[in-house]
Amino acid sequence: MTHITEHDFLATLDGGRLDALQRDHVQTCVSCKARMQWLVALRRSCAALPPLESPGIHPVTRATGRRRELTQRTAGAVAAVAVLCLGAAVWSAGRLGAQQSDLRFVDDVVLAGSHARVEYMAAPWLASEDSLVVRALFRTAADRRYRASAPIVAAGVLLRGRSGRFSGTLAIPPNAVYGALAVETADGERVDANQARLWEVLIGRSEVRRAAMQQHVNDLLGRDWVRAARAQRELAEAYPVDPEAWKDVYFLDLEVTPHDGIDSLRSWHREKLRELDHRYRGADHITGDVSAGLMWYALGVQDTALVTYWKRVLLARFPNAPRAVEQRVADLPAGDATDQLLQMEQLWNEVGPAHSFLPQAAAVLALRSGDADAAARWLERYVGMRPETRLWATANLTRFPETRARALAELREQVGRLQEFGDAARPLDFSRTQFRHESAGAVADAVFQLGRALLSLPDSGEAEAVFREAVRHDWHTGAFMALSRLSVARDDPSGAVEFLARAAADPASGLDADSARALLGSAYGETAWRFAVEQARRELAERTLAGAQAVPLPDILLSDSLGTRLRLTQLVGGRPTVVAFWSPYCGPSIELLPELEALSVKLASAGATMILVTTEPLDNRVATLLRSAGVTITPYADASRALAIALNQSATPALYVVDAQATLRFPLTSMARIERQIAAVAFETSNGIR
Amino acid sequence: MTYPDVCSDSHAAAVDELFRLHAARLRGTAARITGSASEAEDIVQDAFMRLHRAGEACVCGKGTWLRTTVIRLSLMRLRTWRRRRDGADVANWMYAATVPPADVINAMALDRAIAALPARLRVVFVLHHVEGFSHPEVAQLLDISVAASAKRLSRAVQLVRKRLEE
Repeated sequence: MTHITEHDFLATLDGGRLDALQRDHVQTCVSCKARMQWLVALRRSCAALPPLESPGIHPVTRATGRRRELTQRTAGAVAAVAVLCLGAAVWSAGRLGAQQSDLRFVDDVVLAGSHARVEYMAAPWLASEDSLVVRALFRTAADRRYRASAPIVAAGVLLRGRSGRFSGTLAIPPNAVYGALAVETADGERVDANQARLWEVLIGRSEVRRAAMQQHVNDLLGRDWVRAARAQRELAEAYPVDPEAWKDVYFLDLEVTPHDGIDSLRSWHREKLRELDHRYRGADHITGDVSAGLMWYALGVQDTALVTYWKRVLLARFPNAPRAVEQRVADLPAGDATDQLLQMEQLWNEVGPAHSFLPQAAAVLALRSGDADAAARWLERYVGMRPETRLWATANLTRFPETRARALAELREQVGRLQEFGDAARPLDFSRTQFRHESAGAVADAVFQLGRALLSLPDSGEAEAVFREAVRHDWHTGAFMALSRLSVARDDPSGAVEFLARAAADPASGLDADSARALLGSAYGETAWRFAVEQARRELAERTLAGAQAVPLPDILLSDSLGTRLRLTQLVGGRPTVVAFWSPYCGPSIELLPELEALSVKLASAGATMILVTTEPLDNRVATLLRSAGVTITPYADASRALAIALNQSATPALYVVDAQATLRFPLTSMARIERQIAAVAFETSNGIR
Repeated sequence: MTYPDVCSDSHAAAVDELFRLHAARLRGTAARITGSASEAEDIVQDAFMRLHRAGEACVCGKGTWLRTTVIRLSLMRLRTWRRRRDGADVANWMYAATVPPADVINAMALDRAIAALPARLRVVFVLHHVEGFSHPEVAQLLDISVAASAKRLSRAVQLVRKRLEE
């Protein structure tokens, strides 16, 4: 009998039936059966196609006349809405307006080394300016993953035209392949970063497209995992025979795949690996990258036979390729440190700066074995390949008497440079003020490191001065502890109490009156100690609040796992609150859960609370996941992403501090600072400052 | 695909809530029919503006109304624009939700295959397979016969399959 037509199969999906003959045929015919299954899968995949974001990436689109007219018409309507809506709904106007802000390139192709024309429909908070600055992070084909190296530059100025639209030209550097852009006022205080997504552009024509797409992924890493995984898949689909690309797809998919999807993900990639293996096995024209890519892909999907095969190929045919060097270092026989360092020295003479793992491993080994000479040499090589590690390297060199003087001088210079708050280091979506507060913590920590290094000098006076400087930049509990120890050592009890009380005022330090007395001896009275801690708490609150914002949030509805909808204000309930965004699909989020649980217990005892929010549906899987992580906090769903949009949240985990009036005070904060911030907000509430 | 509805005290706040709930999904519907994310944005804004202007005290049941409006606006846009805008730049699309690793077909590849269909087939495919309308409903929306709808669908499915297997 003949095969069954697509038409008949499709009819069955709408409730039609196959006749008896056809049914018998499907039972026995492999191809018809497969086709039937495929059609069912297609239907299911179609029904599950995801909703779309407002368009944000404009790699190469032309602003047509029609588009202009439409945007203007809608913008006009939005303005009308703003007049109509009052109270909470004014937000909606702002947000609708925010979605309208749009930066686009006028020409189809943006070329490196050119001046590219752009047009910008301003966000409401920038629309009244006469000129705006476009800041950009351009990446070259050689840039590494994450945001360690590429500096941020002012790429051009936009001037307001008569229609209210801004336009200008951007200088595209000669070797750029990718750019991420944001628009801000000239003073850098108001920023439109396209709702933290930034505007992105792939530069150049098809011959550099591979590099451009790779840099797009590199830039998204650590910024937005979901989009990074998506961009990596696009890259692999565009260059389908590149094992390195598919290997990265696998590792990024792992980041964003729910637990119960990992098995099917791995088997899909095993299949892909087989396909690539088949293509390259025995081929003459493969490169070191291909064999290294296949080896790592096999390692990822746990196919030991293929790991062995491709590792052999890599080491035998491309012994000097970066990835082969990495393997050779890892495979060095364990033994005496001097022996190993000698072998690494030989390897370096043979291959030079091929892979940073060699100098890194050697430097760590030399530091551990106390070989100052070797440590200095290897650290220098390592910093040469990874400039961002300079601070760490220099701090380590202060440990050896031979290198101390030079290292200290260099450390001081580096710390000085950090304090300049250079605009090149300011992230695209940060205003100047925000960045100053954000980086104060980092500077305090760097200065603290310098102080610790100085402690090894016979005279502790200089270390003390440096610790005092660290706490001038930001509240640094470690520095306060060090200062109190120094005070005890030079027999200055009042100084010791003062500094220790400050350390104790930080709820994260876990210092109470008893442990303080253990440190200070029994000479200090309970009352004096309590008074000192109370003073320190006030100071902590004032200093922390200096970096706070006050952005009112709309009273958004969140739902619990039963579907009950609760308003944000109900959940906050007049308490300082940590809003913790997490996702059951995100590894780092899940790892953070136990810490969040511990934090929520501490918060409860301090009269504060935590709201655990996800934008995913709260199904049984989420409940099981939370139970197995030992989490007792009630999870809420922000299915409409309303809260996520209001907080500008794009990646998980993300923590926010909200005060008792449900006003956002500290956006995107860190676990290290969150307890201080909650304590400050609680202090403010209980003392009626606001 | 269900469209939950919202009831709230003030019209503007309710429309706002509706926007939060539905905008991304409606944008997907409009983009898949017209093949353009920027058109979709305009269409969705347009639909919400219509709802705003209506100014009724209660927006109950408007989730479904919005969906129908967006589909009709998309079809209208497509009729006038078909000649000029065929083929979509799916690379510009950004999914608003985490894409679950589909057991069989990658969402981006599928969207690309759908976008590559000729408009008359694409509309039927999107309405039936993606939006879940029955053939009689598709036929009514497009003003064609039920048989024609079924026929166009099977042609579209063949093309999508061919494209995905390339």
